[in-house]
Amino acid sequence: MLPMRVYIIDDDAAVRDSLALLLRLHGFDTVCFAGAEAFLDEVSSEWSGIVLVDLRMPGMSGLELQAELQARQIELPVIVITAHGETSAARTSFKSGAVDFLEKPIDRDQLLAAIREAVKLESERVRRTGRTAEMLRQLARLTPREREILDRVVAGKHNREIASELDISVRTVEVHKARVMAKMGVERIADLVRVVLSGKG
Amino acid sequence: MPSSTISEYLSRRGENRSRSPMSIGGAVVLAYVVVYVFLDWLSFIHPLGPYAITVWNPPPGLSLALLLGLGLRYAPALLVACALAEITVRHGHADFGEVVLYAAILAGGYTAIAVILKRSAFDPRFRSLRDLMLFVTVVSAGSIVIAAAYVFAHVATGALAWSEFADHTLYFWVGDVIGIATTTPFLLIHGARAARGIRPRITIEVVLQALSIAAVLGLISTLEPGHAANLFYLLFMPLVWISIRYGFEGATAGLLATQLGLIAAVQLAGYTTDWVLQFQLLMLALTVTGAFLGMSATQWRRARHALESSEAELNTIVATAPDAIVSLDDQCRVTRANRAAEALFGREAVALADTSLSELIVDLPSNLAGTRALRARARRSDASELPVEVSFGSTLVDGRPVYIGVIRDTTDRSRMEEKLRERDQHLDRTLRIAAAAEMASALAHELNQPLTAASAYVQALEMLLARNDPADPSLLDTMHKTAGEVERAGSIVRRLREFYRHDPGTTEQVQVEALVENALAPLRTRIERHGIEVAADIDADVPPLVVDRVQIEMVLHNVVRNAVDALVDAASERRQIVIAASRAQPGGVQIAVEDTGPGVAPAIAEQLFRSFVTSRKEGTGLGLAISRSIVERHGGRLWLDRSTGGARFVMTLPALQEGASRA
Repeated sequence: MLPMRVYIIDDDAAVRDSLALLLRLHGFDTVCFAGAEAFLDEVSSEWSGIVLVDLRMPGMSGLELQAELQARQIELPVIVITAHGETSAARTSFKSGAVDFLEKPIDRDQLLAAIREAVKLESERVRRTGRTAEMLRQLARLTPREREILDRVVAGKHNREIASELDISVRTVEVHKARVMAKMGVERIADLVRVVLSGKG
Repeated sequence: MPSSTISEYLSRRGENRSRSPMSIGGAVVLAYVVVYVFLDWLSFIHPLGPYAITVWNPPPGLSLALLLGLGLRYAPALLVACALAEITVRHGHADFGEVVLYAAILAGGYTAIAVILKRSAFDPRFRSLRDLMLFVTVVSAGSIVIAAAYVFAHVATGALAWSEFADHTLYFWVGDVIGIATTTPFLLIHGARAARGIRPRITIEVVLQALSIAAVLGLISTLEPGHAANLFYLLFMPLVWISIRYGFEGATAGLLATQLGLIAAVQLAGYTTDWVLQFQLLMLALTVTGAFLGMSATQWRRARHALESSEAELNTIVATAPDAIVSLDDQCRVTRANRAAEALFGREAVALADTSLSELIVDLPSNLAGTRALRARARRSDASELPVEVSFGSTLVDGRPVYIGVIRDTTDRSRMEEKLRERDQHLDRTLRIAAAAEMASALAHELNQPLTAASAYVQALEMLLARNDPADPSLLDTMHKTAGEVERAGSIVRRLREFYRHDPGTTEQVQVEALVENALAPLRTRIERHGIEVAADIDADVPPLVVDRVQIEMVLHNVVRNAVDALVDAASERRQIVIAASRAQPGGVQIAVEDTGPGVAPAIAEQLFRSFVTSRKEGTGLGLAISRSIVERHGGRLWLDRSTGGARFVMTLPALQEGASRA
């Protein structure tokens, strides 16, 4: 597995450089940006990793960046750092889904704990995203008739209902269902429903 | 004028109106005619020839008093009275036409005199010397005309010969003038007094005066006319006495009494007509003298009364004035002092008298000429001192300067000013502390950056060292970086310390271009992001500044940031900041930062430099108050020029002097 990437956004070059060094030594991949604008110029929904952003910067602030990422539906976990405690800013950033809020000078243990938390969230998100991709690939292998059967199964319909709706025998429905489960790689109906729903999620 | 006096005055005016109605009082006319005829009969003494010209003729005096006192509308009554008198007393034998002619001349003549007097603004109350002069002149001149006309009428009717014209005219004139002079003023003055309800007061002095007149007249009546005429001057004494004591009012009464007594005396003595004429001429002189003397006395008395009341008023003002008022002679010694002065200096007025002002006021300038007001300290009798404000006024009395000093105790005011000053200082201190606190917060923020970096580097170093690879180049590199960050933190702390120093830190030569560049650097990103145009307009001949670079950089940064903030928030179409630098006198440089923003609201501009009045949401590194104090510590100034549309902050800073070493 590739190392987790941390995007460090801070207007102070020394802060960027030192944090990058420390995180690299802890086994993370790091990319630095001198400002929120520079980061936003490059970021895309394909990216994976953790955002470590300074709250107060000339130009766009950390909170504004968070808002912009949400607006673009980019769900990278965000850790906000600032020079001195501002409870109102902290509250806002938590509400906007920040993983943690760290005060400068940054305590290493807190930083690593926050990073670990973010890594967990990001891995899950990546896994979820990966499952969705896998499911879409499997769904593509289903025949139109099988898609019809699947939609109705996921909607919670019984075999008899499906048979009457599609004007086929119950026996035929059961054959299609077995084939769908085999193609989607699940053994139970419940698993099939969960995979499809979470994949859509 | 107090209201009671005003109402009295108004009611008196009302009475006047009711007392002199426009209608002619029938009773008045009747009484006048009866008295006229009676007087004419009474005074019908020593008639000259059959024409009834007498040397004492009071009836015209009665007529004039009627016209002047009650109004010209009574003129027709004169005609009736004159005609009646002509018929009953004088020319019982004359035909009706002649009676009408003579009566018309007399009545018309006296009416003319009254008209002329009224037209000349004559006051029948004889208020001034002018009224008396006017009266004497018009009556004398008018009487001559009347006398001449009357006598000429007799000549024309053949009752008199031409040769007798001059003598008879003189005779007539003397009789009329003396008759009017003794009667009219008396009637006008005492009639008005009686109408006001004032009764004559008979005192012992008045009785003595009457007795002395009677004595002289008694003496005259017992003597030969020649001797008597020589003693006539004795009558001047009681009349001077009366005039001086009782003024014009007394004189008119005394003269009338003397005239009546004189007529009685000459009648008793049985003098010839020529002698009576002689005495009447003397009486005329006495009358004019007495009247003028009396008028002078009245005027003098009136003036003294006016002076006394105005002095009393002034004394009351001075006595009740809350400020100390002292009169000073030309040696600046106190001649008079009011109650407030006694209280202020803690001495009785008696003790203040003759005290030199320099003993009362500490540090009084030796030469007070031209001094109008000064602030000084008053020394009290117990040696304590009070802050006072002294104002001077001066005037010349008998050619010597007299000063008036008004001394105001300003203890309360001084105390209040002191309090205000203390509060100002307190406020200043508070603001300074607030500014310092904000400054500290800003610097703490800045300090956090190198500390964060240094701590991260150190942690990284720990891990690098744990690898136990001394050849790793990043080890040394990171150590350098750590040291650099610690250095940076140190410089921020130094800056903070410099900030609390009251004098500018170490000054150095700073080029304005470099200063502007450094102040702008941290703002570049924002300036570009918000499309703000920044222009530097630095004159070629601007010398380098001699300032604490760090502090002035902060000030300029702060001012420019204010401009940026104003432009970001504003909806201005054109977003421009102009930083202009030019030479300023003396030996300084002026830097102006002007923006195209909305400008500073007047309410905020007032206190812009006094407190952290700001429209920004986020705190700033530096308040304008502290910016100004930094500039002022450099000997310069920082102010807001509101003459432009946007905000224009201007500062002056010391620069390198021409000819000074640039080393």
